[in-house]
Parts: sequence; C-alpha cells; structure tokens
Amino acid sequence: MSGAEGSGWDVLAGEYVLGLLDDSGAASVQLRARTEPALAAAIAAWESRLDPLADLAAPVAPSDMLWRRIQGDLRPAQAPASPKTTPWRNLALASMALAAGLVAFVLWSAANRSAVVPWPRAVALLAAPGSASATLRAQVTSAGTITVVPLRHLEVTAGHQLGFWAWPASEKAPVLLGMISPDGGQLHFPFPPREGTPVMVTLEPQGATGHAAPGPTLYLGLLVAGSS
Amino acid sequence: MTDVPTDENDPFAPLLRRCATGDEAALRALYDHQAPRLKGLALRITASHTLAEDVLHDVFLHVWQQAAQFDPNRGAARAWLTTLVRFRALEVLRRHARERTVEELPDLPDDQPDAYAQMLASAEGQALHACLAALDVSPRRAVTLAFVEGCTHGEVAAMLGMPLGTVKSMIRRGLLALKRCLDQ
Repeated sequence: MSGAEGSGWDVLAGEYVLGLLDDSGAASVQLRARTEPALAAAIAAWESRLDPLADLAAPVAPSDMLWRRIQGDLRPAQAPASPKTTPWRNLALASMALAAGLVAFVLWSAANRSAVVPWPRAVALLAAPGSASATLRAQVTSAGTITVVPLRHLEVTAGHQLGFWAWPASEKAPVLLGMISPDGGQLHFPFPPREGTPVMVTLEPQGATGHAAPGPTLYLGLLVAGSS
Repeated sequence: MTDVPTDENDPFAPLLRRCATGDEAALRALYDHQAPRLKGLALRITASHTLAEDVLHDVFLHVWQQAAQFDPNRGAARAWLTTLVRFRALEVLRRHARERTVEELPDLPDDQPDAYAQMLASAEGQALHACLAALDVSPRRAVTLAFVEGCTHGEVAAMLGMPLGTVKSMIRRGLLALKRCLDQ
C-alpha cells in the first residue's frame, strides 16, 4: 500500500472524484478511505478543487412537480434519529450506495431506516456492484455461524481467494470473518445479526495476512430478517 | 422563498445544520437556491429531464435524511451537493446502460466561451480556470468532459480521437499538474 501514498493517492482520488473508476474500483476506494485518512483527505481536496467546474453546466429550472414529489417522500421523524450513534456507518452505506449499481438501492434504503432490531435468523443476498441478480446467499443462525452458499458458479482469479467481511454498527471498519471457497463455506459470526448490516465478498491475495482493509469488492449485500 | 443564510464562507452549511434537526423550511430554501444548478449538472450527465429529476429527488431525500453527516471541515456544502448529484447521476447513467455515442454528447465547454462566466464569478473558479488554461488543450478537455459530462475514459478517447491508454495517462498527468498549480 505504501506505493499508493503521496501523489499516488492524489491520482487515485482525482480519478475517483472525476467518476472515472468502475463500480468495483469506486467501491474499493470508498471502503479504503474509511481506514486511510490521507485518501479521504485527498478525495475531499479534489471535490473542492474541481467543484467550480460544475458551473459550466447551465442552470435548468426543475419542474413544478419535483418539490411536491420530494416533500411527499419526507419522513420528518427520521432526520435526528440514528446518526448520533452510527454517523460513520450511515455515511459509508450512503457512499457505497452511490457507486454500487442496483445493489445500491437496497443499501440506500437500508441507510435510511432507523430501526436496528435483532432477530434469530438473518439472510443476505449478495450481488455484484451494478448487477440486479444475486450471486450468493448468506444466512446467520442463532448459534453464531454464517453459512455462505453460491447461487451460481464463482470464478476466482488465479493467485487470489475470496474474503468474507461484515460491517456491524459496532465496528469502525469492515471485519474479516474468514475466507470462503468458490463452493461457499461456514464461518463464525461473532456479532448479533442486525438489520442493515453490510456483508461483502472481496478478492484477496492468496496467502496474504493481516487484511487491514478489504480488497476489491466483488459482491455486496445487507442482512435482512429471514422467514424461518 | 425562504431566508438565505449569509455565512460568507459557506452560505449553505447553516441550512444543512437546520435540515439535520428536521427543519423542512431549510430543505426548501436549499432546494430553491441549489436545485436549478444541480438539475443543470444532472441533465448534462444523464441527458434526460426525467432522469435528472430522479437524481435530484434521491439526492434531496438523502440530504434530508443524512444532513447530519455533512462535515464542514471536509469541504463546502456546495461541493458536497455537487458530489452527491454527480455520483448519483453517474450511477443512474450506468444503470440505464447508456453508452453514449459521440453524436449524443454535448458540445465541449471549450466551444462555448460564455459558459465560463459563472465559473469565473468566484475566486476558486478563477484559480481553477487559470490552472486548466495552463494545461494542454487535450488534458484540459479530458478533465472537463469527465467532470461536467460524466464521460468515461472510453468516451473521452472517442471525443478526442485518441487511444484509450493515452487518454488514461494524459488525465493522470493532468490531475497532478492541476494539483501542483492549485496548491501553489
């Protein structure tokens, strides 16, 4: 990672702010920025530097319907609710949502929920950023395990393995639960299963240790209440 | 129309603070003053009034729900709104799998000198304009096309008639040159 410091962050952050990274690359930058203050600062600096360029787009009056549509969808009780306890997490969910394709709509909706309630069983359908169809199913049992089952054939790049991460509200960064094979796996889930907890499968170098931050995100999902 | 805060450094930050307390009038004031600018930006990227208004709808709801997340130490409220709109518009563009042809893309801003008048109204805009002008014309256009029109590397390459790899390295060099110039 040291090679990406200094001007390397500036280029990566600049390409990210310009919107030139693909979904996976953008999601990876967003996650990494959570644990790399220098990257987060480089992103913020580019947002400020380039903001005047937005003035090259001539203003266009919105239709009369737009404000009524927005107003009709406001939920007044929501605004001051959960951010006091989990501000970083809601921000992360929202920023992930901005780059993660159709999966983003699930994340976006979940980020706007206030209730976080435990229940005995939780499931998540994980999909690739930008994809509408699930690739894996993960289920948490009351016994504290999570079972990951692929719904279609998984390809793993040579020299890499699949990491399975969870990002519970109690943690400031994603937590690596372990590695899964292309056939899935069963891992210890040391947290209460809570609605809206992001889970993700990432591409990790074979034999790597440490895993301070997730590799490129392959599949994303959120825990929701299971039916049984 | 609601009162506008007069904080010289960041006039819209106080409105975001009020939104975080559930003040709907503050959201309306923010909308009144920023929606035309933001719709213009969303329209340049999505090339659709319907999609541009979908973007604004989602972004203003996000602002209402997440205004407390705005960090004034990280940048101005205006830049935060710009980022939300650009990223949401890019996501919408990709979701609709809109592969734009050269003919569909708008005119280059360089071809419309009047477009720079608004940008030059602020000190930050003047500085950015001067540093962009110091770049060669191709990297200047590449950065502008990516930011304002939401162009991909491939679209920029098509617009400029240059190889994809050349465009990627040119943009990287251009970003570093811009940073050096703006940080002086």
